[in-house]
Amino acid sequence: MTELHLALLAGAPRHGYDIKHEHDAWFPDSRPLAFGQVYATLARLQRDGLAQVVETRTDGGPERTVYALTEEGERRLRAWLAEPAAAAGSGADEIVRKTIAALHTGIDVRGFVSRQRASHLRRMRELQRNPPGAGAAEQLVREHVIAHLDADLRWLELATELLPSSGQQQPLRTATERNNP
Amino acid sequence: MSTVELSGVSHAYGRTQALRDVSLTVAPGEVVAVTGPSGCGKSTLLLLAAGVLRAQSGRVVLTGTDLAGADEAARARIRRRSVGIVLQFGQLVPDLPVLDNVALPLLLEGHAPREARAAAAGWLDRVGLDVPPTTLPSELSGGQAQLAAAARALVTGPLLVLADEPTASLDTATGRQLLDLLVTSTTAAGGSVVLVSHDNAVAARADREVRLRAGSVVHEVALS
Amino acid sequence: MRTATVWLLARPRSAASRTRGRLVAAGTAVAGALTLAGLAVLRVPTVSWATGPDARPVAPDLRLSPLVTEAGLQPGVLTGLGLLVVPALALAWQALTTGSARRTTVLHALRLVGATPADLRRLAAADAGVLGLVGGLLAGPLYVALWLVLGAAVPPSARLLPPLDPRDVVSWPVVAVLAGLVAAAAGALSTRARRRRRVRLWWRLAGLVLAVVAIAAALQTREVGRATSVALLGGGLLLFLVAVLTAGSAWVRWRAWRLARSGRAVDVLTAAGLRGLSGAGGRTAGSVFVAGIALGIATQFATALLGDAYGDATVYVPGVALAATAAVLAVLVAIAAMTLAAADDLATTRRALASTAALGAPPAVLEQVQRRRLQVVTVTPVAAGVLLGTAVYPASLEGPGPLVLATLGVLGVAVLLVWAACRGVVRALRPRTRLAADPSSLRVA
Repeated sequence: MTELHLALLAGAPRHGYDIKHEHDAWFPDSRPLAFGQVYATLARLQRDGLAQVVETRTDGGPERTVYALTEEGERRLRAWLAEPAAAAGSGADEIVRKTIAALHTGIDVRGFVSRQRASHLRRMRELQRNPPGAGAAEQLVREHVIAHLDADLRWLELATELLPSSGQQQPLRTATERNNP
Repeated sequence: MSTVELSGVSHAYGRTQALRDVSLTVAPGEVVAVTGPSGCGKSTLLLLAAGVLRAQSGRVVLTGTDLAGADEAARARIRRRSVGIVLQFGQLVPDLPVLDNVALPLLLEGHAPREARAAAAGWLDRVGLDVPPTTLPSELSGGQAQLAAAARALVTGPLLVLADEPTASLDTATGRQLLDLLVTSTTAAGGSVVLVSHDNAVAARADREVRLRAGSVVHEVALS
Repeated sequence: MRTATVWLLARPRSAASRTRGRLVAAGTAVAGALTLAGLAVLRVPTVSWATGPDARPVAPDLRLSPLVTEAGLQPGVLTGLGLLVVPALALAWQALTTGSARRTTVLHALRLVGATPADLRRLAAADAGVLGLVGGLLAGPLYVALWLVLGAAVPPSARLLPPLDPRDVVSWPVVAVLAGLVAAAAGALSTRARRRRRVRLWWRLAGLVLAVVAIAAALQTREVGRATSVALLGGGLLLFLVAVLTAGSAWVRWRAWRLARSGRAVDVLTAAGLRGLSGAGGRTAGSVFVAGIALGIATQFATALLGDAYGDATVYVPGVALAATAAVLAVLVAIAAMTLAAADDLATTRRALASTAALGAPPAVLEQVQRRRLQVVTVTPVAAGVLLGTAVYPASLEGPGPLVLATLGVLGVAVLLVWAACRGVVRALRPRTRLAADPSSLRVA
């Protein structure tokens, strides 16, 4: 979840409440993010030098701390997106998180999709090569994984068709840009 | 020498630009998947590589011959000697029994009908099409026609097999078997295979994936 | 490709291709028999009345109708025979090219596996050449039958064909071989990818004018002599037909465009069907139009004869009958050609038809579409032809009254007959339509 918080911060400096809402908007059907988890993660990001406090607002209401990515944090985010999600097949929420984060932040979407496809296809290719002597049951397990990898790829295709340029709606502002507006 | 080499190829049907400045090189023994959404130019690319269509710009070199300098007869000869083509449909000659359809490239090449038919019967057996040899294409199901087309593509022992959605009308298991046969029997003899498909399982059979979108290459990655 | 392979691939196998073969042979046989008849007529010496009623250099052959012995009338008979040859050949050509869509499929499939253009030409030439030769051989017996009808069975004054002659036996094999060669050439030609070459409107007009001038000149037999007259008439007629037939497909496309604009389901489907068959449709429309002209001219003559303007009218009866028969046969052949094209179109578009049916178009609508398509290319052209035919040749010396009546009568009968023939054809095609619209056609072949 650390990198996902980095992605949520990549668009603009935000406070914890914004981050929660942004997350819930990105993943409308997932379990809503708990406030406690947001603040705990932000504290950890600050401790590791991945995020920094840029201002503290009090608009008549409660005090709110606004966080932004550090250059280190952005590097970390880019490194995360540069690596395709593991071609695990089932239960792989990681591919969903990465794709959505890539499409929202607009960080090298085409490259990300390409690497993810290649990674999945390579795994499918391996699985399609049945080792000699493999039993029917073993083969069926492989087929199950292949079918899920195929489903992942179809979803990825759909995602890139439906959200081709969302990166432009919310351009990533790097720390340097923020410091020199 | 590459089996087929397209460089900077563009093609349009009337006002529809099907391919824009596409380059693709297929090495001997290599299996390449050309993927992409419908209407991205995959099939056009295949027909250009086969010399069925002529590139409007750019260069296509097929088994060492620059197609720009080859007339229709020369392109046809290269095709029947060195290229096997499997399309989605509309490829078997109506009114010609399945056996003769499969033997066709050999017959056109001048082989004696008896030999040609014997070879054709062997390939029909290998692709697993079990119908009487006098069956007409109109009496076959879509999947059976596809198997017959695959047998015909392989009957000459081609240097290059071009397959457009070869498994589209087959069930998963039969499709997998056919794909295996197309790939293994071609590459074992040093031939190359270009698989055009939007099916990821077909793409996963390739050594390399070339992905097209709106007539241009968007990515090209090695899978092996 | 070995010769054995050529025969193997060219041999017809399906019922459809055998029917096609029979039609090609039949068309060639009819054309061959008529050519033999024409040659026989050309052999008859003619007499000329040019020098006046009291000076007859040669006595006419009284065993034959004056239509073939008089220098002024013989070209007319030859024209009638020529008019019959053209639709017979058109039928053969239509059968040979059976619907461009199916042919395109076959040629495409063969090219895909590496057949060179020369291979395709050899295959088509072998196929068509054999059919042409068979047709040419059948032309002999058919000519004998024709001779029995037009020569032996009628009284001498109405005979159009001279007695059988050793020269007929010589011309028969020559015609047969020629038919085979012409058919082979036509077959080879039919494999060429058709490039849509638009003939400029003004070239067409120029062709038409030239044709009319040539025909008019040909009718002045006295001045130009028999051989020139026949040559001019033949050339003019050919030019005229080509001009009319090429204009036909443009007209059909225009009709399709108009129908498509109406937006009614049947009209839109008919328009699509017409566009798909604009070549065959245009040829049919052209042939029917020319047949209409022949009918019109026959009507003129008949009216004049009934008015007894020429004295001994019976002399001209065989001529008028020949012209009328030619016209009716031409209409029938044109409809047969269109039917062939339509049946073939059914076979090639069965997927589209089946999905149209699957979308909810009832069989009656599909049949209605077929009927509309056939009627569009026949009813208007035949009517226009009849009107033009009666207007073009000022034969009637009487007042316009009887001619108008006769024209209206012939027009009504012709339109009604053509209309009924279209209905009959579609009715006959019903099993094929049903078969084509069957959901099993949705399978990929």
